[in-house]
Amino acid sequence: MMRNNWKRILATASALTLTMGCLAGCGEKTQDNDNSSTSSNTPVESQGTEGTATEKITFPLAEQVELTIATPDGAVASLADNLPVWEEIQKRTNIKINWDVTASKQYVEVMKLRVGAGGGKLPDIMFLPNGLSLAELGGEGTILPLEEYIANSENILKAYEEFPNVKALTSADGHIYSVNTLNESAYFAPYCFIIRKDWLERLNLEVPESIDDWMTVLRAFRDQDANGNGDTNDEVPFSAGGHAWYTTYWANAWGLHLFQSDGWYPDENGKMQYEFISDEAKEFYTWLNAFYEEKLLDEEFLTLGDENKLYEKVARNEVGAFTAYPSRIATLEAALAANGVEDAELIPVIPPQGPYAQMTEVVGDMTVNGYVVTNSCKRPDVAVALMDYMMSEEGKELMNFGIEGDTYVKENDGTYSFTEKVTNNPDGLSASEVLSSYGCQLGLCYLKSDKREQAMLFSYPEDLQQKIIDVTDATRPFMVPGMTLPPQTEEESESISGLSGDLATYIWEMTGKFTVGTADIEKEWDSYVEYVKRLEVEKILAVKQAQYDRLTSQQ
Amino acid sequence: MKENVLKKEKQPWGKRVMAWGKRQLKNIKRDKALLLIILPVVLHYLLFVYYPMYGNIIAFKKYSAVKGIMGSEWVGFKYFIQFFNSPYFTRVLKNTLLLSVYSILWGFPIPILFALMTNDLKHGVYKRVVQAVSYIPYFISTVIICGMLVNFLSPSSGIVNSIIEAFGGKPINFLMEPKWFRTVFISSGVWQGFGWSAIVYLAALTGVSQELYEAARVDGASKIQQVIHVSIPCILPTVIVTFIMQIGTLMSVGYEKIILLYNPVTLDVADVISSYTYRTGLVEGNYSFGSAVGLFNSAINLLLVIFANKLSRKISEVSLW
Repeated sequence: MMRNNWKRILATASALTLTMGCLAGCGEKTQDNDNSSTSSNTPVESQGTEGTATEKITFPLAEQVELTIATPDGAVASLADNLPVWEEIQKRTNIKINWDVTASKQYVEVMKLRVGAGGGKLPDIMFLPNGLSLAELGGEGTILPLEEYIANSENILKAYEEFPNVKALTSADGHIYSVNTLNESAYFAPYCFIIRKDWLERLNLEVPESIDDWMTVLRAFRDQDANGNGDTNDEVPFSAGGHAWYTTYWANAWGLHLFQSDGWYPDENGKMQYEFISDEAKEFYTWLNAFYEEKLLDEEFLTLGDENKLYEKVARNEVGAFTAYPSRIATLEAALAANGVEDAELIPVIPPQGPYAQMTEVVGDMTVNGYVVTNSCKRPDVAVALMDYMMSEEGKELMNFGIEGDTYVKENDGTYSFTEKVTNNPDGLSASEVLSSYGCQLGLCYLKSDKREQAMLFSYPEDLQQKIIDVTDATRPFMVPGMTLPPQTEEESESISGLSGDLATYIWEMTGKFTVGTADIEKEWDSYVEYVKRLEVEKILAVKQAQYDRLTSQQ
Repeated sequence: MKENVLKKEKQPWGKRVMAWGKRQLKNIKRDKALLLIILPVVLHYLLFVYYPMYGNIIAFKKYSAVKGIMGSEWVGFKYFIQFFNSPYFTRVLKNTLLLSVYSILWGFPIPILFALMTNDLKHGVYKRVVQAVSYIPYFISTVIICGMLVNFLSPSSGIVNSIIEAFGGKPINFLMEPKWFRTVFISSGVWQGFGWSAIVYLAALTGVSQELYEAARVDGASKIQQVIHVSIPCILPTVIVTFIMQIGTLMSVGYEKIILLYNPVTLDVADVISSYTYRTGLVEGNYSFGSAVGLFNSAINLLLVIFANKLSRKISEVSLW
């Protein structure tokens, strides 16, 4: 017994010394690495400059180059299966692309772990997963600065002129690090309220134009047999898909930018505010609470799980109004018809006049994250040239419309129309599904064309086309740009590390509680504001202010 | 004893090592089949349990992907302190402990009772069916279980509320009421796991010698008395060992089911250490912080196991080591 114990102590002690030795070794190694990492940064850059970078690259390349691209995969068809559009791009550029794809739902987590794990070889080009910062990755040398290659890229430069914020938004610490998908059609058919026109007609109601109108209409949906099945109790007046965030779309009418800008918005003097703790927000929450208490808001708005559950509910003929992109309407009406509701009609509605505003925030003339070139890439010049090609007229046609003669025809007046194969697919696929099975709008950055959005309308029933164009025109005067800020610097993100997560948890928790009434707004508002301040909102505001100043100074 | 040790140390080092080596070699030769059988398990532990442990040092470092685990800068206990100072620390700690304690309170005795009951089923087919039905839920993925829960508990279309309404009650929005969260979480957990956990007790029960039961019957013991005086004492060591193991998981409530079931309104009772770590560590990419919390968790769990083991050894003389 005794001897056994001795052995154990000895073993523990030697294990301890081993570990200590190991740890001491690490300490030394850190310093070594620090030195080498600063010095190794320079060779990477110079490696790019020597040889081809200064020359302009023309496609097709004389000698084939291989590039690996990591990107979220398409839902309809996998990029790994040689989709026609990408076959064409590879043929025209003589670049061989090796796809490193992940299902889009898992992409962010998988890629973040891969970058986080370090060590291994990263793909040449990757779609930056949400949550990783350009400044940090650029600072440590994981991704390469691209400005010297972009200087040769006429299409990317042209895009910078067209979208003035883009350069600031893709830069950090004075370097451009990513090329993002740009959207010419952001203001076409934006996210909006959608209501059941046939329910309105059945109850002899007008399309609501103000918040008060909305309340009247939704109360009627609640009390009467709006869906005409003889049961007055199975209608949900307004539903939302599983997160308190969706309900903040209403806050637009209080002049708040909670929905798209997350509450971070400058006031008229250019000073950043956190609108979640403003007086208007208090009034908005008071209204939202009444909205829930009156049973106008779906009881299940927090538990539905996701948007698709909401759409299922809509398809079951239970929901009177909700928020979505108007492009959803066609599929939802089809689903309703499939469930036996033939005369169902959904219409997009312009933003209502509220107590403080009539507006809707619109974001998305640029995707938040773009494609970056990693330090594993041997030919960053070719990588950027490929991105530039994607932004060209030719790339734009391929990415938006597919293969000429197969999926689309170019008319003499410069407009595009899709072929039967797309508009009336023999396999029953929707137009966007067909295009995505060709590889359109997948794989790399591109310019989303408003011509595609228009061409897309031809796949809809004619009256829906007209409705979407009308509501876009009617909404245009109320569109307000949402706030997208340039990336944080390394010090900035370090100074507020961990803060935004705690703040977001608290804000959504309180939004839920104020809405449902488990927290009393009148009694708890002051302590709520106090607590937000304790979560160091001022520190975050200072960083947001600096980011905003960078944006305005670069415009 | 002490003299013995001293005597051994008098022998020269080299000789002792040689003798030891020879003995081991002989043992290996003799037991090569057994060693081969255990090899995969050892490899599994080395590769997937011990090797990853080295990554734990990022809890004490400001981890940067490019610098790697070794190259990252040391920051000491910074992330531990950040966790202890976090506004949510007390809440997630309290919720974790409460959920665990309640889970053990309900989830621990039920499988034992179930095992005792099925053990006395005499009809072979019936017994097998009951057992199979009881442990099948264990194989359903958590995501599906939670989807089923959301559907069953829906205030408008869920089966549970339909039953409540049929009896004249008012529908309850279970998933939106903080006071229902623990009940839903724990009862669904018990439902999913009791059949599976009962297997180990059933195995222990089959090991109980029939002669003991016969002797008890001869002495005129009733069914209940047989259970109390024969079955339970015989499986007690198994029960205690499982209990100690359960104590070791007191601080770990898995995040999957939590994040699938919670929402802002129930966060007060539902947010646990692992779901908090998931949000700050994984979603926001703060790996060092996540590791620090994980390490803290494991340390507490280890202490608890040691404590429970000590206690059990004192009280019942059954223990893990």
